[in-house]
Amino acid sequence: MIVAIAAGLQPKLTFNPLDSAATVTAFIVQVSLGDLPHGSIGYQSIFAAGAVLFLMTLGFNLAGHALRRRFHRAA
Amino acid sequence: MLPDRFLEHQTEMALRRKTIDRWFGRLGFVLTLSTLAVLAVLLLNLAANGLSRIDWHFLTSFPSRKAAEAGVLSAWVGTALLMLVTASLAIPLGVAAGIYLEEYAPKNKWTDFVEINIANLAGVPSILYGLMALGLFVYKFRFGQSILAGGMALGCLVLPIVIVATREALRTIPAMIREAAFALGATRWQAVWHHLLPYSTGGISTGVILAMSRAIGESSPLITIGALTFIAFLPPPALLPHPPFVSFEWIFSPFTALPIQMFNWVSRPGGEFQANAAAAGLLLMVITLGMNGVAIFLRRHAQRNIKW
Repeated sequence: MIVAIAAGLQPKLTFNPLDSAATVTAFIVQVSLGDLPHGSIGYQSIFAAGAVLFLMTLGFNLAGHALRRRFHRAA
Repeated sequence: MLPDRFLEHQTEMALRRKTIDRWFGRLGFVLTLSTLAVLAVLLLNLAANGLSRIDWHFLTSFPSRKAAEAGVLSAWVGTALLMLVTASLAIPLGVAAGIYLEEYAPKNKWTDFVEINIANLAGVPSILYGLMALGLFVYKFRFGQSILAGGMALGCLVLPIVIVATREALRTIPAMIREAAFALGATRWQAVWHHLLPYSTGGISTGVILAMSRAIGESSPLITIGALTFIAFLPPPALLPHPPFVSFEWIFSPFTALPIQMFNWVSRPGGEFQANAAAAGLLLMVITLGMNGVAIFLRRHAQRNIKW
């Protein structure tokens, strides 16, 4: 959300860090700011985007958990 | 190598290590200061842009198409009501879950699983709570795009924070307190109610306030459930002049909140609306810093009164 203000809301695929781009969160916010009927494609796509975002954070969390267990065991 | 040359070498090395140590200390000090500088820049930037906009009119007016006439009345009322719903969901649930996990739950695979999931929930992006609230509260439970749905979304968001704070607070109480209570024939519940809860109130309320100051700045979950950005009315009053005197109609009212109002103003062209956004941000900062101040005070206070 912070990024939505600082990095812009341009849905561009770029590797230039000075270019404006959009995050998954920014996409969801942008879509839900418009009129969003229940069950429409837009409605379903923000849930799909959210599921992807969740899988990404779940991956990080599991990695963090694995790291913590490993270092606890070593200590 | 001669003994005195060896000694000289050792001294030189020791001096070098000390210099490195001193320089790292200085570097650390500068870096620590720079994090404080970020906070200062943030406040100064908001104050420079928005301070001139804050007056009585700004606090008591509805948003308007004209930047100079716009105010944050509906936004701060919405924020206050949201916090009420959030607190009344997150505090009882979170404290109860924390007590169960710390005092009652056996150590086994199942509680391990629950613990991993709570840690996981704390790390989930806030917008996903918004999506959950949209699907579940707004459409499934038919709460609509209301203060109730928004407050519940924020409540779920801060629930892990409250649970963790409660557990931390309970963990600082020495085991002898529990043992003494059990030795006198107290049940677990009696030990919790008469001893553990009163002793951990400081820690728990600190955690609760920190959780609230996290919730107050969230905008993305509220935008997902459809909080409007332009609200020129207040929710129905909670107190009525006639019986039954109390009304809960406001929980189903559409709403806006300070961060949403701010986001709306930031995304508009024109310097005047940017000033409004800065002013709303300043207000939000003051509320958050105030809440953190109360949290620090409570922690100090609770520590002073308890001597094991």
